[in-house]
Amino acid sequence: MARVGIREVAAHAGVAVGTVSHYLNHPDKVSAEKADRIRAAIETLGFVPSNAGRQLRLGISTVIGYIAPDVSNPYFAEIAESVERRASDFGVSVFLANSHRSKEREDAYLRVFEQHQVRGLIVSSHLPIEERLAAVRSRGTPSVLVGQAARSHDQASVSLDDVDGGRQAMEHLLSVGCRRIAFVGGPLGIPQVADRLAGASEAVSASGEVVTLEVINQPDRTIRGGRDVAAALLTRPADQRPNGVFAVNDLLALGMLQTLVAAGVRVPEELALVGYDDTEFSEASIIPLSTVRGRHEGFGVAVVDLLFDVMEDKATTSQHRVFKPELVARASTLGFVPR
Amino acid sequence: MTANIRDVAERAGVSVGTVSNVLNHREKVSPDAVRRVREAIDALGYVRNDAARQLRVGRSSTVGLVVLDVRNPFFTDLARGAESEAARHGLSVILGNSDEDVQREAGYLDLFEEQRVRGILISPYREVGPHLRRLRERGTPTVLVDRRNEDEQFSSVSVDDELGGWLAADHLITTGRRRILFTGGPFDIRQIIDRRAGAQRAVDGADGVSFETVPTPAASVADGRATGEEIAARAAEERPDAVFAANDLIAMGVLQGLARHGIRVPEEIAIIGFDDIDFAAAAVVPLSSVRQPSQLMGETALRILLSEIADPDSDAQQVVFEPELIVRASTAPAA
Repeated sequence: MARVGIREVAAHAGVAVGTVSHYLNHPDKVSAEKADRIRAAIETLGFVPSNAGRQLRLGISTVIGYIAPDVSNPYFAEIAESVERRASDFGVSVFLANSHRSKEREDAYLRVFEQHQVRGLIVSSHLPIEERLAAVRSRGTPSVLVGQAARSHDQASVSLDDVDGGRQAMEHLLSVGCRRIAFVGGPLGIPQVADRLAGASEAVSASGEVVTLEVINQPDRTIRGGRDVAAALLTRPADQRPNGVFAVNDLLALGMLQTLVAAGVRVPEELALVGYDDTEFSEASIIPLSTVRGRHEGFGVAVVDLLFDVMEDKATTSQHRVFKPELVARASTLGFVPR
Repeated sequence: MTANIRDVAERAGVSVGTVSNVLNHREKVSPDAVRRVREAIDALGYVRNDAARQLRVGRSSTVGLVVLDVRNPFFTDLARGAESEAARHGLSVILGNSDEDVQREAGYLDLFEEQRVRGILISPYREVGPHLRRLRERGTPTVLVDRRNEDEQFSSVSVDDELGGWLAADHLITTGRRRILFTGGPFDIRQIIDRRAGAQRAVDGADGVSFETVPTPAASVADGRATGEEIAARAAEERPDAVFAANDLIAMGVLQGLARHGIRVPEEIAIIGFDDIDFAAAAVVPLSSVRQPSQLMGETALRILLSEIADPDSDAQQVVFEPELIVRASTAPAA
C-alpha cells in the first residue's frame, strides 16, 4: 500500500497543501474549521507525519540515544532504566543500542543516531571515544560520557571514582587477612579496569604488608569469563591459588563463584571474593557477594540533567560529575580464615 | 560548522552530482572520483543527513525492537540474538523499553514509524491492538517476539508458555510437592497467563494438590521479594511447599525474601522460575527453571522480519520453540 502523503490529506480535506503543512507545524495559524477537516482526513487516511521531514524543518527531535557496551550486563540495564525514567520527566524517549564492546558497532550506532538526528547522546564505553564524540559534537549532537571521566574539558561526563573503588576493594581483602591476592579483569588498557587496578595496587603498597598481587588478564568480563578463570585456577595445586580475589565486575565474580563452589572450594573460608558494581543479582548469589557499589540513586538523574544542560548550552563549569563508590561487605569475604 | 555535500564536492574537485552518485553507490563514477570523494568526506567529517535521504529513499537501515523490560536478561539476550543477525545484513537494532506500559509502547511504535525503520520486532504488552495493526497496514513489517498472536495475522517467534508452565508444575508435583503457589504478573501479559494455565492443568491432573496465585504488579526481583515476605509472614502450616514464579527475576526475589526469614529452600519450600537466565545457576540456591532459547528466538525473529521486508505479501509464519525443564538444587526432593 502506498504511503499516504500530505497531498492526499490536503485533497481529502479540500484544503491546500500549504494549509496542511501549517496545521502540522503551527496548528494555531489554521482556522478551527479547517483544522477539524484536516484532523479528520489524517485520521481517515492514516497519515503519519514524517519525523524525518519535520526534523528537517524544525531541527528538533524528542529522542535521545543511549549506547552501552552490553545491555545484558544488569549494571548497564539499570543505568538505562534510570536514564529513561528521568528522560520521560522531560517528555523525551530513549533509544538504546548495544555496541557489544566492539568499536565497529559503536561507530555504526554513533552514525545511526546522528543520522536519525537524536537531540543528544549518552554513551558508556570501554574504548577510547572522546575524539569520536568530539567529532559528533562538532556536527551538532551533544553527548554525555558515562562511566569514564572525560579528559577533555569540552566533553561532559558522569563517572565513578574507580581508583577509589579499587582501593576500597583491596583494603577490604587485606583487612579480612588475604595476602595472596589476584586481580581478575581486562583488558588492562581500558580506563575503568586500569583505574581499579591502580587503586588496588596503591592499597597494597600503602598497607606495608607482604602481599602478592597477581594480575589475571581476562578481557571477557562476563559470567562465562569468570567460569573460565576459576576453571584455570582449579588446575593449580591448592597452595598455589590466591586466597583473595578482586574481580573487576560482578559478572566475573559470579561466574568464578559458581565454578569454585561447584568444585568444592569453600568461599569465603578458603578464598575471599569481592566484585564490583553491586548489580541486583549480587546479593542473591549462591554466596552473597561482597562488592563495590557504583550504582547510585541519583546516577540516572545526574546523567540526563547534565545532557539537558549541555543540549541547552547552559552547562556550567561542572561538566564532570564524579560519584564516590562504596564497599558493600557480604558473606563472600566475611568469614575468611587466614592461615 | 557542519560540512555539506557542496563542501565535499568542492574539496574533491567534482560536481555535487558526482558526490551524490558515490554516496548512492551508482556505478557510473570513475574509481578516481570515488577515491577523491571518499577522502574529502573523511577530511571534512561529512555525515550524510539521513532525515533528508529518508525523505527521498524512504527507509533507514534500522530495525526497532520494543521489549517489555530491559532489566530482564531474557530480553537483552533476545536482543543480542536479533542484533547479531541484523549485523550480518548490515542493519542496526535500536531498542525501546516499554516497561510494561501501554502509553510508552505506543510512543515507541510511533517514534519508530516516524523514523522510517525497516521493520519492528515487538514483545507486546497486553493484546495486539489496533495501533500495531495500523502500523503494519501502513507498511512497516512487524514480527512479534516471545508472543504468539491468536489470529496469526502477524508472524511470531515464541515459546510454548503453556507447556512450560505444565513442565514446571509437573516437576514440582513429581518431586513430592502438594501445595503449589504461582506468583507473577501483571496478568495483562499473555506469557504469564499461559504459564499459569499450564501449571493449573498439571495441578488438575494430579490428586490432592492445591494451587493458589499471588499476583504481582510487575515481574521484577523486587516483586518476587514482596511475595517471599508475604509467604514468610504466614503461619508455617499456611505456607506453600513449592513456588512457581512466572520468571527467574521473580523467583530470585522470592528466594531472597524467604532467605531473609531463615526459610530453607528447597527443604521447606521448593522454587522454580522461568527463562533460565545466566544468573539462575548462580543464585544463592541454584535455581531450577524452564529454559527459553532467547538468543535463537531473537535471531529467528530477525530472519523472519527480513523475509517480510523482502516480500511484504508473504504469509505470516509462526515459530514456536519447545521450552526445556532445567533441574537444579532449588527443587531437589526433600530427603
